[in-house]
Amino acid sequence: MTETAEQEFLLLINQNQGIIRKVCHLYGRNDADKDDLYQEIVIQLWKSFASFRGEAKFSTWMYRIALNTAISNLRKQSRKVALSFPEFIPVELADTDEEKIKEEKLKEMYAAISRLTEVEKAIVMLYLEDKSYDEMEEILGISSGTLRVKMNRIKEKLRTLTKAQTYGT
Amino acid sequence: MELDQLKEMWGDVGSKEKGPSADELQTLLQKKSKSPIAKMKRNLFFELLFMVILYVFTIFYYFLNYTGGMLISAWMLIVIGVLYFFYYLQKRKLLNRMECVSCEVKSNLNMQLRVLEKYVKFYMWSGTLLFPIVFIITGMIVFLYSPDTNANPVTKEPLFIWVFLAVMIVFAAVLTIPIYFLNKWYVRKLYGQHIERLKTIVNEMNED
Repeated sequence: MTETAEQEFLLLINQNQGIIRKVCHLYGRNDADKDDLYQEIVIQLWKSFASFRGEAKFSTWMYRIALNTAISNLRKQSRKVALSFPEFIPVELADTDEEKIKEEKLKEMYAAISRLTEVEKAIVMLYLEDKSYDEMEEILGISSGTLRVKMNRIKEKLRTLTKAQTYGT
Repeated sequence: MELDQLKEMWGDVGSKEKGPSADELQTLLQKKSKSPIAKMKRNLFFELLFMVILYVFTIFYYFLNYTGGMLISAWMLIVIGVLYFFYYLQKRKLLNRMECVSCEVKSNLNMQLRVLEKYVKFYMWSGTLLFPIVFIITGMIVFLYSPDTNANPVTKEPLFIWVFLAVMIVFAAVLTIPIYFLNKWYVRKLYGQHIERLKTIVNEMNED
C-alpha cells in the first residue's frame, strides 16, 4: 500500500480513535487484554482498508470491524476478572456523600455491563453511542424490531444485576 | 443507576487517550495478528513447510539409495505429496472464506461458524480416510518387494497376493474405527470449544 494510503489511514484512525477505545474498554478484561484487542482491531482495519469503497459510512465500517474482531476473537475467559474501569469513572475522588453514592452506582453499572454476553455488550455499546436502531441493524445485522426487544431485556438484566451487586447476591 | 445516566458520560470514554503516531502505527502493523483464523493460517503454513521438507528429503533419499522395485515407494510418496498439496489448497481456501470482518456482525459470525464446521469435517474425514489408504499401499509395497516374498514361490502366487490384500483391507477397516474416534477427539480438542462458543453467540444473535 502507498504512503498516501497509510497517511489517510492514520488520519481516519486518529479521528475515530474513540470507537476503538470504547470497544476495547467493553471487551478487554484488563489493560493487557485491551492493548491486545486494540492492536488486533487496528491490524484488521488496515487489512480491510484497501477494500473500503465508501458504500457504508466510515464509522459504520469501523464499528463492524471493531465489533467483529472483539466478538470473534473469543479469548479464553478466566474466572477471576480484574475489572479495570475506564478513565471517566473517578477513583475515590468524591468529596460529598452524594457524589460517593453516584460514583459507587456508576461502578456497579459498569461492573454489570461487564457481565453481559458478547452480543449484549455490542448492543449496549451502540445504544450508549446514541445510534438509532436502523444504524444498529446496519452494523450488527439484527433487525431493528429484535434489537428493541433485546435492548429492553438488557435494561432489565442490568437492573437485576446492579440490584444483586447492591444486596450482595 | 440507569443505563441512560451512563450514556451522558459515555462520550468521554477514550477521549483522553491519544491515537498512534505514524511510527507507532508502523510498528503496530508489523505485528502478527492473534486472531484464531490468522493462527490457523500460520499453523497450516508450518504444516506445509514440514511436509515439504520431510517429503523432499525422503524422496531424494529413496532415489539416491535404491534402484528397481523399491523406487516405487518414492513414486508413491510423490503421489501422496501431490494429494497433500490439494488437501492444503482446500484447507487454505476454506480459511480464506472463513471471515469477512467488514460485513455485518451477524452474517460474519454465521459464515464463520458454517465454514469452520465444514473445515473441521474436512480435516476429520481426510485424516481418517488417509489412514487405510496409506496402510494398505505401504503394506502391499513391503509385501511385494521384500526379499522373503521374492524367495518364496508360494507368496508370489496371484491367489496369495489377493488373500494378503483382503487381509490388509480387513485390518485397515478395523484399525480405521479407532483412528476415526481419535481424529474426532483431536479435532474437537482443537476446535470444539471455539465452535461451541461461536454457536452460542450465533444462536443468541438469531433468536428474536
